[in-house]
Amino acid sequence: MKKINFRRFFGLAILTLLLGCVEPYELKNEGTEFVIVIEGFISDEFKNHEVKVSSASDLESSGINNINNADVSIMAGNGDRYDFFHTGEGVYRSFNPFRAEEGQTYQLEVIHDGVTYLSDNEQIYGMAEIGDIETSRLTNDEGAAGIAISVTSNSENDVQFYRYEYSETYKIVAPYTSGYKLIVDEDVQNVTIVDAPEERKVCYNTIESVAAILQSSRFRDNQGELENVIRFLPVSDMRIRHRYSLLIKQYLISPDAYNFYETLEELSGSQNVFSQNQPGFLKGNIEAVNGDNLALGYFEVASSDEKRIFVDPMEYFNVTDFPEPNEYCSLVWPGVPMRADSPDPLVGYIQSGEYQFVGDRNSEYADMIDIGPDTPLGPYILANISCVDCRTIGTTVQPEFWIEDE
Amino acid sequence: MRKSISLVIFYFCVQWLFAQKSENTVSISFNNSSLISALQSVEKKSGLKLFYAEEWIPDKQISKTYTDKPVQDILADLLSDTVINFYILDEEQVILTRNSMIYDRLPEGYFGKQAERTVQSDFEEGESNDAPVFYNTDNNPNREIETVRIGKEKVNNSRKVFQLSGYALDKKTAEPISNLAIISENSGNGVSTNLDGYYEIKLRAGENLISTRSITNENITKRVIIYSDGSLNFNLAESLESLGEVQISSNATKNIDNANTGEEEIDIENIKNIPLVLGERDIMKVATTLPGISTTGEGSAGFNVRGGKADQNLILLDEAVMYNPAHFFGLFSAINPFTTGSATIYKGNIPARYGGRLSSVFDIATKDSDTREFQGEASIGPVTSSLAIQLPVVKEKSGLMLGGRSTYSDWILKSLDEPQLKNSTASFYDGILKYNHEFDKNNKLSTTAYVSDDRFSITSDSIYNYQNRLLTLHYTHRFNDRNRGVLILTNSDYKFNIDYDNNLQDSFESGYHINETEVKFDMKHILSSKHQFDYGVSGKLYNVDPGFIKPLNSESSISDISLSREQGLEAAAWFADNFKVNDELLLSAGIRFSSFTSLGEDQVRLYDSNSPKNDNSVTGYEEYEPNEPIVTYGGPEFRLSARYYILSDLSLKASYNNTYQYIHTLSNNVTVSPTDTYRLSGYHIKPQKANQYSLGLFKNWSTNEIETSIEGYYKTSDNLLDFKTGANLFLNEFVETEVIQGEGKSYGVELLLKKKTGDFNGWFSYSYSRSFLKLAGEFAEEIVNNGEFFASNFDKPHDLSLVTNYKLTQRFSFSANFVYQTGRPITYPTGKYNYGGSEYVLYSQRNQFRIPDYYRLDLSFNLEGNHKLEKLGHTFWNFSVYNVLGRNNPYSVFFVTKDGEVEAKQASIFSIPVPTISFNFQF
Repeated sequence: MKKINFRRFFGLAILTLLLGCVEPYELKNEGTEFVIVIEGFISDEFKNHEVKVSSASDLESSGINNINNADVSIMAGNGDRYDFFHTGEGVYRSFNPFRAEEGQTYQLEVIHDGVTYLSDNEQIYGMAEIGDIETSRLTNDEGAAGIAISVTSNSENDVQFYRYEYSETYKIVAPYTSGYKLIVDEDVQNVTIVDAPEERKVCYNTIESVAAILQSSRFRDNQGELENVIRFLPVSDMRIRHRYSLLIKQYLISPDAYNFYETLEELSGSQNVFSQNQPGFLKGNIEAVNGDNLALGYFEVASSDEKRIFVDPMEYFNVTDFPEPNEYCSLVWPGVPMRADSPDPLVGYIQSGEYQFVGDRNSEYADMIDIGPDTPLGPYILANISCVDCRTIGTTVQPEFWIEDE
Repeated sequence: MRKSISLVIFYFCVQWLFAQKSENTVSISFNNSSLISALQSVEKKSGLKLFYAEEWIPDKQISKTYTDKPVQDILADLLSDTVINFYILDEEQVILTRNSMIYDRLPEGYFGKQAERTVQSDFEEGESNDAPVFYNTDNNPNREIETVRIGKEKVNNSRKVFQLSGYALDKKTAEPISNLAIISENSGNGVSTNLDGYYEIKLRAGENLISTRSITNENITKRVIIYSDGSLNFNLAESLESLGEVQISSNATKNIDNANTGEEEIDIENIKNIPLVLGERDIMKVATTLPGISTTGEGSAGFNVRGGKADQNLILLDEAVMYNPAHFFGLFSAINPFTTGSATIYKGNIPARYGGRLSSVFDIATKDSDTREFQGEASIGPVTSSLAIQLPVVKEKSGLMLGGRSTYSDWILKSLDEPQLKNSTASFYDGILKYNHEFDKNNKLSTTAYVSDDRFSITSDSIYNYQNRLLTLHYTHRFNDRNRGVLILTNSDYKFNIDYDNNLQDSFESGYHINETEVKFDMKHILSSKHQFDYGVSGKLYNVDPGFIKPLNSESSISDISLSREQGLEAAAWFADNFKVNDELLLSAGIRFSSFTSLGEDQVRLYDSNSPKNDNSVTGYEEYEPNEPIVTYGGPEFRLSARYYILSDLSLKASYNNTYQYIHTLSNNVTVSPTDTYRLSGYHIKPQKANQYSLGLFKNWSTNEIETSIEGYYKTSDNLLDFKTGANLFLNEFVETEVIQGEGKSYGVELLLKKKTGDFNGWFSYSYSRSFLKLAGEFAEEIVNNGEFFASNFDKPHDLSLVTNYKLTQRFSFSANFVYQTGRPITYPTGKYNYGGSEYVLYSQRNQFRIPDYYRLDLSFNLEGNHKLEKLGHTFWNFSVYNVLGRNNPYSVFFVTKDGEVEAKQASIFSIPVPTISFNFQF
């Protein structure tokens, strides 16, 4: 799925593919200064809004430097004040649920280590709603066929800037589940086959979107309507193998907020070899009022709308379009121990947790494996655990919003 | 007694009578009579018989009246301004002689006078000389030398040395011949004619052999017999010598002689030996091996001269501005090397006739087509081919030259398996046409047309295309030997387009276009050998379409938008004097007045001065009509330079320049990118300005075979354009909201050693230079690095280049090229942070670190075809390996967020040695 980025048009140019190269470079820590990072976002949804406060860390460190001891509050133009408390991991939640009102200004205040950081006064830029969500079969630029989910956003504003987030939930049906499983007896170092009546075949997994998806109506002649592809899944992606659901959250944001997110992506995006953006400190709308400390981040106030759809891939593709399970599930037929006192190779496989039972030597799996003529074979055939037990990928608990048939 | 007394008286009377008879007086008048008839009348009236040769008597008209004048006086008067002398013999006959005088007595001391004679020099004046003038007649009857008699003898001749003067004129045109040598063979003394053709030479009385010597005119010898001061004019025909071919080494002493600092000339013919990537002869790449000129990397198209940004270079092809002189990201030059005659780079003192850019002028001139025979040159390489042919149109008068270059990379790409490459496009071509016509010696016309086109895919769904188109017309008129003028008309057009085509609703086409037209008139006047003037005026009209976007197909919902057109008028007038103060000191003093007026139609936004310029601080608008002046900038630009000879082969040069620049590149990229646009100065964007001081020592060794120079410079600039972080420059009508104008400072020392001739030749250049930028605006978003000077994107302290060529035999030569440069500065992150679930790098200080150093070795081997005289054409093979060491010089280091995590990457353009074979054919 490609989004237009009007500012960067360059991918890898041909010559670099032929003659040049892009290699990993070692990140060296050259010294850090304290920079606070504030993610503040409130919408017109009535809920306990959250603000995230952390600080920049060393390049070589892992993990996030969450700030747990800040005072966070939001002041409304009419004098209302909403205080936040720390719930853990740098996340601050408002004591009371509230919503951003149209026409009202809001200002975020964060006090940490004696320094007060204040944002600009922000307000809802405009109202918008999600019109239609369309699912269609599409072939992307690389020639892969798949399903594209696009959203039509409606607003009365002349110029619209949107930020989208999504939450996708997909159903997993493990292809090689059987009613049995192998367990290892640690003391004796052997493997026994037992019943497996628990649900291992059908699971659900939910993933949140990571990067902001941006769309603007700049240069568009659409009279208030804007269509945008939010998600594209090629047919080879296992998430679209079975029923799939997408919750799309749409926020109408201000041009400055849009610019912030766009620059954030640019500065971190796959920089083209031939022309790179001049990097610098990305200033949001938050500043320290006392002191020289730098503050990163944007305090956004936006109107929101969300909508969920369900997709049945069979409406767009035939079974034959999807990859066969044996293309992504590797089958393994461990051999017998060489001598009586040698360890059973089966034990190793099961113990690793990567493999599980699918069938015995009389099952149809026996024909699916390419085996050498001389290898002595054991009694059981194994497959990747994710193809046997869906709980390794998701949960068997069906989400509340899940509707199986429409 | 009475008889003797009367005899005495009689004798007395006779004596008296005799005397009276010699004082013969006559009254005669002439009215427009010829001299001959006048003499005849005198003859009759006086009763004297005149003896003369008629051919001696000049054609002179007499209108005079003589009343009772003695015949002597009348004759003296009639013959006064002729070379005829007269002698009255026996009171009855008058002998007229030409030049000579008849002496009736021998000089004093003729018979053995012993007088102390001190040795005297030949030409002392005021000497008593009573000796008559004798000469040998016909001592060499075979020599056909004309004999000329100058002046006439005088009785009381007191001088030994006389002056001969006159004019030397061209026989056909009657124009004065200056610098003609006139030599007296006897004494070896010589003079030369001045600018008006006038000479004065001192000669001994008597016979002298006078010769003229000149390259341009015939050499003649005359026998001149000097009787007194006189004049002699020479009318010389032009000397004609039929030569096969002449090679003139005219710039042997240019290194030390030229008054300009920082001037480099590229020898176009010899660059074919320098190994370059993919076998291309590239004038621009050769320029980067000279000190003071560098690039930010292999994939970058622009140049940085003496710490200046890439848009500060004026690249002229036959006086037309070329906006993008490279193909494909700067990897290939857009200038056909076969049609180029000369390339001169001014980076120190820029002569007053050039202006409009701060850092340098690359003056590239095409060569004139051969007007006598058909010639051509072609080269075939692995990726590109070039061809140039010269056709005479009117023999000896006019010729047409055509050149073209193209790649076949599209064909290569289609034959590859990788799908991303297979569907890509990468092609370019350029073509040039030049017609030169010489009407006569004084009038010449030449016209050049050039076009280049590049097209390549930058991602799988977008194609980028750009074009240059230049048209020039030069008319040169030589008024006389001292005045020459040239009228130049040029038009330069540059545009680029991006086509973005995907299957969704947002396929678009966007682009940019700039067109400029210039009229320039330049006059050269040689006042004297001390002063040479160069003066002129120029005017340039800019039309810029800063950007447009429109839907690519009917499904696209993109609207049709274009930014309002920018128009500007740049004018200049200059005057420069090349003043030769004395043999040691040469001053080049020039002043250029330049101005720029931004014209409407436009809508200008006004901003609150207490806040940074952005959409929220707009206080009002000002509307301007079409062609209404919005704002004018301008000022004087001084171009002063001097050269002083400390020794005959060592000179010291100094210069001071200040320049203005009215057009700027809009780019917030670290290096030059093909989508950079150019914008004019206007209400909010002020022109850039710079001051440069430079000082250098220049020395030639071994009779000009080796040239060395060491030059230092210091440059300050103002109003340099930079942009806020995350500036949105694409189709932005109000760019002033994203611009920061700051100060620049750069300085350096450049060393160049060049061996121009011999089997082993080449050059070594080293420069140490620093380049800084300071951005300290009023508001926080306009301040970078705390408002202090920081290293600019092209600050490369050490830059070393070695270009060598060794000729093994007449046919084989071997070349090596080594380049070493400090890595350029980059902005390195000072930390990382988490935002919206992903990791990002934190940048706070700009350009605090450097990428690793760059070095590269290239080798090539050249094989010339055999040297048989009678063959179809001359061939030349070049085998070269670029980047022999295989070092993957990092072009950039950048940081990406992939799957939510930060990764550092290093990119290089050429990471492996690239071998090339190319074949050249000259016919």
